[in-house]
Amino acid sequence: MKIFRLSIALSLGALGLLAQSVLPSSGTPGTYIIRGATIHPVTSPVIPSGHLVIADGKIERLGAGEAPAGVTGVVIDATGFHVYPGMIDANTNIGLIEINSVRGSVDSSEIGDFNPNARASAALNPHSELIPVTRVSGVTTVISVPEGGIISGQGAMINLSGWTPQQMVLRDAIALYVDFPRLRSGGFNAAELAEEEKKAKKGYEKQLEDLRQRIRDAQAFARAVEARAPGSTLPRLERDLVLESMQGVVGGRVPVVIQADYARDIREAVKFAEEAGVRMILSGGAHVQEVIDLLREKQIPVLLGPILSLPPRADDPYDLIFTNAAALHAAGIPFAIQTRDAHNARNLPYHAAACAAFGLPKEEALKSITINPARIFGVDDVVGSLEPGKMANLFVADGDPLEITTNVREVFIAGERMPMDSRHTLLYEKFRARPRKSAE
Amino acid sequence: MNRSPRVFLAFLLLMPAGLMADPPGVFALVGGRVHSVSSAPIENGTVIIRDGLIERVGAGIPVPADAVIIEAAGLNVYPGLFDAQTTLGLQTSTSRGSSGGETAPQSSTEPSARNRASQQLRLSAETLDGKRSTGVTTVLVAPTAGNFNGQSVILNLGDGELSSLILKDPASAQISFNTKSWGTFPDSLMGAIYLARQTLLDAQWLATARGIYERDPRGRKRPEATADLEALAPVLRREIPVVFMAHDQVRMLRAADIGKEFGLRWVVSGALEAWEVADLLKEREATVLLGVDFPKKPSINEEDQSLAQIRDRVLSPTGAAELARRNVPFALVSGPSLSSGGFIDGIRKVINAGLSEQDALRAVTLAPARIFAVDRQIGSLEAGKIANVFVTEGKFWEKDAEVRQLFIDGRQIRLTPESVDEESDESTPGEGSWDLTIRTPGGEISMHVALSITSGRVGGSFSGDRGSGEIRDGAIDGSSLSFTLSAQTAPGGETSDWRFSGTVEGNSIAGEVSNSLGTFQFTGRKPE
Amino acid sequence: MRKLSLNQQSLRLTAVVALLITMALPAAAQQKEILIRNATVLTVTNGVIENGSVLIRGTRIAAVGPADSVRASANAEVIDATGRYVFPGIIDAHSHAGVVGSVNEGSLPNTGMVRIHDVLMNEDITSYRQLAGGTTAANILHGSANAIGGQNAVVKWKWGKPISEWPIPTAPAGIKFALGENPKSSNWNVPSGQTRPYPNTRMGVEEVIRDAFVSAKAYMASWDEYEADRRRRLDPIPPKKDILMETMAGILRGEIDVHSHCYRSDEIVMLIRVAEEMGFKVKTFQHVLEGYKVAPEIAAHGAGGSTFIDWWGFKMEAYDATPYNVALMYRDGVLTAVNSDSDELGRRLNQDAAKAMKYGGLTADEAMRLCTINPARQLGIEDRVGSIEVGKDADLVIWTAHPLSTYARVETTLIEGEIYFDRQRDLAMRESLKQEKQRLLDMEKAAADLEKKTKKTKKKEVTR
Repeated sequence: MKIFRLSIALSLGALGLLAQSVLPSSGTPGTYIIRGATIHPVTSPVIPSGHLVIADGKIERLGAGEAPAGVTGVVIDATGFHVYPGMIDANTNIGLIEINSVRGSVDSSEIGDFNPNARASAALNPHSELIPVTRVSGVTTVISVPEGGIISGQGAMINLSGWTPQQMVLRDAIALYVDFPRLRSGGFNAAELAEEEKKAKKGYEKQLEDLRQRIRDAQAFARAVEARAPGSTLPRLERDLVLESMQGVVGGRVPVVIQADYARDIREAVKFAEEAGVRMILSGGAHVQEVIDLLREKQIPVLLGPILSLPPRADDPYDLIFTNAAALHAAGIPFAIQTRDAHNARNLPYHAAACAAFGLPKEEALKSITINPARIFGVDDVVGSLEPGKMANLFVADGDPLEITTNVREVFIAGERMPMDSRHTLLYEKFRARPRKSAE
Repeated sequence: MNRSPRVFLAFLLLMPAGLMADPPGVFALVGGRVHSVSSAPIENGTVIIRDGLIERVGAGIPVPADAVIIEAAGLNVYPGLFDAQTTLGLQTSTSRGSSGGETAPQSSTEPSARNRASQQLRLSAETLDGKRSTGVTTVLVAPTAGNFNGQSVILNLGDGELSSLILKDPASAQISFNTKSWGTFPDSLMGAIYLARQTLLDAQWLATARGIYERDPRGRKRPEATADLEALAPVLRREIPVVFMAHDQVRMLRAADIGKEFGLRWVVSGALEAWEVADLLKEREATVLLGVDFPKKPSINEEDQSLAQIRDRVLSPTGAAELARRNVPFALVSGPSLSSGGFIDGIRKVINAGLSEQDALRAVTLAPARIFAVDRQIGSLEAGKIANVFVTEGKFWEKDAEVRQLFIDGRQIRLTPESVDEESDESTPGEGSWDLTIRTPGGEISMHVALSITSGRVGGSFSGDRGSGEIRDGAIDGSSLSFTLSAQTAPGGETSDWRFSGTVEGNSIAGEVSNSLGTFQFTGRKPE
Repeated sequence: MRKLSLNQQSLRLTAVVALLITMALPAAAQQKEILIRNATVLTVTNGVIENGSVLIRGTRIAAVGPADSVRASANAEVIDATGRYVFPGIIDAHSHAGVVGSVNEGSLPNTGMVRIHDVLMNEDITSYRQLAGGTTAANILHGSANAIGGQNAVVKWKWGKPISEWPIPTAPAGIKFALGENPKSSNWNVPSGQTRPYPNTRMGVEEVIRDAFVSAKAYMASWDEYEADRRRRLDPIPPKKDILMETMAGILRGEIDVHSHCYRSDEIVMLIRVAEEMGFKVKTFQHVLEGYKVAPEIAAHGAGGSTFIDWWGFKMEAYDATPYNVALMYRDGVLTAVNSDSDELGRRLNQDAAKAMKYGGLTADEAMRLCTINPARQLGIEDRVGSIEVGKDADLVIWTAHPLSTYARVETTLIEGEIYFDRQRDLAMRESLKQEKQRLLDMEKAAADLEKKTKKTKKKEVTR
C-alpha cells in the first residue's frame, strides 16, 4: 500500500512533464482513503479529524477517526489538511475560449441576437489549457456558458476533467442564457440627446418584443407538438431546431438564467419571466438590494458575480457588490457566487471571500460556491457537498480555501486523482530550470 | 422647451410687411427707465440718438427740435445686447467628435488659424432678425471647429453690407481642444493641448527667426513661414485676445497655463463648470465668456445620472453669480449652438440662479465690450457711443418681455411679422420632428425630419438610411408644406434631390415626393 | 411640494453649492498629531511590530514602535487600532484613472509630446474607490497604442483636493513606451477606407523607437551648434523648439524615466538592446508577463518589473503568462511589483501581492513589498512613501485583518496625515448624498415648473 505525504506529492512528476501537456484526467478511478484531515462536508458539521473514502468515482463514506479496517486503497495522509467539496463556478466560458483576442480560438458567441439552439456542449475543448489551470485551484465543476446577443444559448455543467466533451458533461443544456435588453441612451447636446433617446427606446422595445415573440413561438410549437399525439390526423409538423431547443424552457423543465444588473431591468426581467411562464434564475444582480422584496416574493434564485467588479454607477456605494450576498442571505433568497470569467475562474473562492469580508458568514461564503449552485441548478444530489453517494469531486488544502495564501494539494474529480500541473506550473518549472550564467 | 420670441408677435403685427430700415436720423426716446449700464438706471430718462450715435442720455434733458419723439414711458431702455460668442451666419452642422464625446459645429471650410469668420459669414434675413429681435444688436462670430478655429469678427446686426457693420476684425483668435476620430491627430484631449502649445511655439519661433533674418539676411535661409503661423503673430503681440473653447475644468486650466506660458491675453469660453471652480478662475486671473447653453435633463435613464452630473446640470447656472461675487470679469454668451431665444432663456436662468439683474445686464453689454476692447464704441448708453439701443415692455430677460423699439447704428430697425422666429409657437403647422414613410415600389423608406419654420420659410435637417443633411427651399402656406432635401435614391447609391409637398393636419402629414426615380406617396407622423 | 420663489431658489442654489464644497473636502487634520495605537504595524522595511503605534505629526510619520515607546502630546488625536493592522498606503505603478478624454493619443507611432499631467482631473470616483481599497498613490500612464506614448503623472489619490495637489512633486518625470501587439495594432480593426498604420510588426516597433532617438540626437546636436554659434556672436537663428524632441532628449539625458509596456520576452530584450545602444535606461517593464523568461537580462539592465499577477490568455502575447512570474523575477533580482492597469484591481493590490506567496512561495515580507516599497522604488518616490518609517509621508491604511488576507477590509486611509477614506464616515454619508441628489432634482423641477407657468400666463394674454 502506497502512502503519499502531501508535502512531497506536490512537486512529484513535474519535471517529467516539462514541455508536455497536462493529462486531461488520470483515467483510473481507484479507491482512495484520505485520512487525518479536517473534513468540511458543507451540508453537515465539520469533522475535525476524519477520513473520507473514494471508490468507483463516488464518495463511499466519510466520518470521524480512521476508516474501518478492511477498506483498502491508496491512503493519503492528510493530517493537518482540510478536505472540501469541489468548488462550482456557475458561469464561465471554460472550454469555449482559449485566447480572447484570437478569433479562431473563441467559440463563445454566435452571430445574431437569438441563439437558443447554441449549445456549449457542442464546442467544448477538453484539451484547453484553462481546464488544468482552473481545477488545480479546487474548482472542479463549472457551467460553461455561451454569451452575446439576447438569447445566447444553452449552458453545460461540466467537470474539469475528461478526454472528450461527453466525459466532461455532467448536465447538458442545464439552462438557457438570456442577456436581458437594457434601455441605454447617450447624446452630448440637447438635439443629440433627444435623437439618441428616441432611438434607444425604439431599439429597446423591439428587443423586448422580439424576446417575447421567441417565447410565444416556442409555446405555439409546444402546443403543435402536443396536438399531434398518436392518432392525430393533423399534417406532419416540420422540425424546427430553434423552437425545439426551447421546449425544455417553455415546459418549465429548464430554467432561464437572465443576466440583469439594474433594478429596473431586473423588474422587467421578472415580469417577462412571469408572463412567459418560465423559471427564472437571476444572474449578475449588481443592484439586487433594490429588489430584495420582489425576489423574495417570487423566490428567484440569484447568481451573483463577478464580485470582484466595480459598482456600475458612480454614486453606488464602493462596497455595493461586496454586500449583495449578505443582503440576499439575510433575506433568505437562495444565491450562488460566480466569476463570469474563463481564465481566472480559479479565483472563484476570492470572489466569495470578498462577500465574507463584507458581512456574509464565512460558512455561507463557502456554500455559495459549492452546495448553493448545485441546489439552484438541481444537481445537489450529485455534487456540491461531501456526502456518501455523491460524485467524488473534492480537494485537499492546507487551510481555508477562501484565503489566497492557502494551497490546494490534491484534487479529485469523479473519483479520479488529478495531476496538479497546469500550463502555469509547467512554465514555472521550465524556466526555473533555465541555466543562469555561471558568473551570476 | 421652446424659447423663441413668439412673445413679440403682438407688437410686430402692427408693422408693415417686409424688412425695413430707415436711414439714421434723430430720435428722442422719452420717459423710459434708462439702463445706461455705465451708471445707475435713470427713471423717466431721455436718450437722444443722432446720426448713428448717442448724443445725450439723462433725465430732464431737452429734446432737440428735429428729433422724432418716441414715447417710452413705462418701458425699459437698454443698450443693445452684445452676444460675444456665436456662430451666427457660419455654415455649421453638428457632428460628434470621437473621444470624450465632444461636439463642435464643423465649418464647411477646413479649420485653420488663418481663417476669418468675416470672410465666411453669410447672414440671412431670418438669422439676422431672429437674433436682433431679442435685443441683441452686436455679435461676435467665431468659428469653433478644429483646433485653431480661426479668427472672429465683431459686427452690428444692422442691415446693409457686411463691411459697414464690422466693429472689429479680427476680434480674437479662437482655439479649441477638439479631437478628431481615432487615428487622426489629435485623437485625444492631451494631443489637442499639445497641438496648441507646439503651434504657438512655432509662431514664436517664426517671430524670432524673422527678426534675426531681417537684421541680416545674407548667408541665411529665409525662415519658413505659413499663413497660419503669421495669423498668430497678433496674438503673441497681445494685439488681440485668444479665446479658448473650454467648458470644463481641465480645459480651463490648460487655457490658463497656455495663456501664461505664451503671455497671451486669454479668455475662456463655455466655462460650464465655473460654478464649481470660481475660486480657481479668480486665482488664475481668468476672463470668462460663460455659455448659457446649460445641460439638459435626459428623459430616460435618469437614474443612471450621477450626483456629479446632476450637480453639473442643475448648478451650472449658478456659475455667473459665483464669478460676479469674486469679481472675475465675465460675459454671458450663447456659445456655438444655442438658438436666439435660448440666449435670453439662459440669461433668465442665470438670474434665477442668483446673479443680480444689474450684473446680468452688464454681462451682456459692457462686460463683453471691455473683454474685446470695443467698450469705447458699445456696451452702454453714453454720449458718443454707437446708438445700439432697444426698448422693451418688461425686463428684457423676462419670458413675457416685448421688444418695442430697436436701433442699430442709430437706424430704427422695424421687425416685421415675418421676421419673428416662430419656432416656439406650438400651433405652427409643420414645425418640429416628423417620422416620414415613403412608399415606393421597392418598399417603404423611413426618414426622420426635423423642421424649423421661420417667417414662412422652412429649414431643418433630416436623417435616415438614405443619408442625412439639411432641409432647403422649404415653404409653408397655411397647411401646405414643401421642402427639398438631398438623399440617396437607393441605399448607398446616387444622391438626388427629393422634393416633398404635402398637407399638414395636426400631427400627421401626407403628400407626394419626387426624386430622380419618380413620384411617390408619403405620410408622416409626429413622434410621441 | 412647497413652492419657491425665484429668489428663494437662488438662495437654495447658493446654499447647496456651499454644502457641496464642504462635503467634497475630507476633514482637515485639525490636530497636529495623530496617534494610531495598539495595532499590528506592518512596516514593510523594518518588520512587524505587534501592539505597536504610529505617531503622525503634520504630514509625516514622527514615530513608530511598540505602543509603550511612542509618546504623543496631550492634544494628539488618538485612533485606537486594537486588533487592527497598519500598513503603508498601497502604490499602484500602473493606472489610467482620473484621465479626461482618451488615455491614448493613438494617431502616431510616437506621441512622446503629450502629457497625462495635462488631462488629469479630480472628479473620477475611481480615485475614491482606490482609497477604499487602501491604495494611496499611483502612476497614471498613457495608453499603449503606440511604441512611444505620452508622459505619465505620479499622483496621490487626494480625493476632494484640487487636482494641482495630486501630483507628487518630487517624483521623477516618466514616459510610457509600449511593445508588441498594441503598438502594432494587432487587436483592432482599421476603419474602412483607412490603411493599417505603421508599424505592423515588432520589427517596426523597434524601428520607431530607434528612429526617435536618432532624431533626438540630431536635434540635440542642432541646439549644441546653435549655442556654439551664439557664443561666437554669430546671431544665429535658433532651431525650432520641438516638444517631442525635447522629450526624447530628456530621456537620453536621464531626466525622464521609461516605463515600457511589454509582454513577450523577445521584445523585452529588444528594448534593453536599443536602450543600451542609445544610452538610456529602462526604469520599469510594465506587465512584463514573460519577464520570467529573461529575468536575468532584466536584472542585469537594472530595470524593474511591474506586473499583474494572474491575468493571462486574453491575447496571444499573454498566453505564456504564469502567476509564477513574480516569484521568478523576484528571485532573479528584478525589482518586482504588482500593478493593476485596472480601476477594479487597483483596489486590491494587496490580494495580488498575496498571490505571489501562493504561486512561487514568496514570504509574507516579500509579498508585502510588491505593492508598497517596490513600486515606490520603481517610481522614484521611495524616500517619501512605501513603508512605515519615521520621516516618511503619513500615507497609512488601517485594516481589519492582515492585508494579505482576503477577509481584510480597509477601515481608514490617510494621506499625509489626513483621512481621505473612513468606512464609518462613508456609511454615514450615504444618506445625505441621496438626499442631496433628490434636493437638486426637486430644485430643477421647481425651476422648470416656473418656466411653464410663465408661458401659460403669456398665452392667455395673447389670446385675450
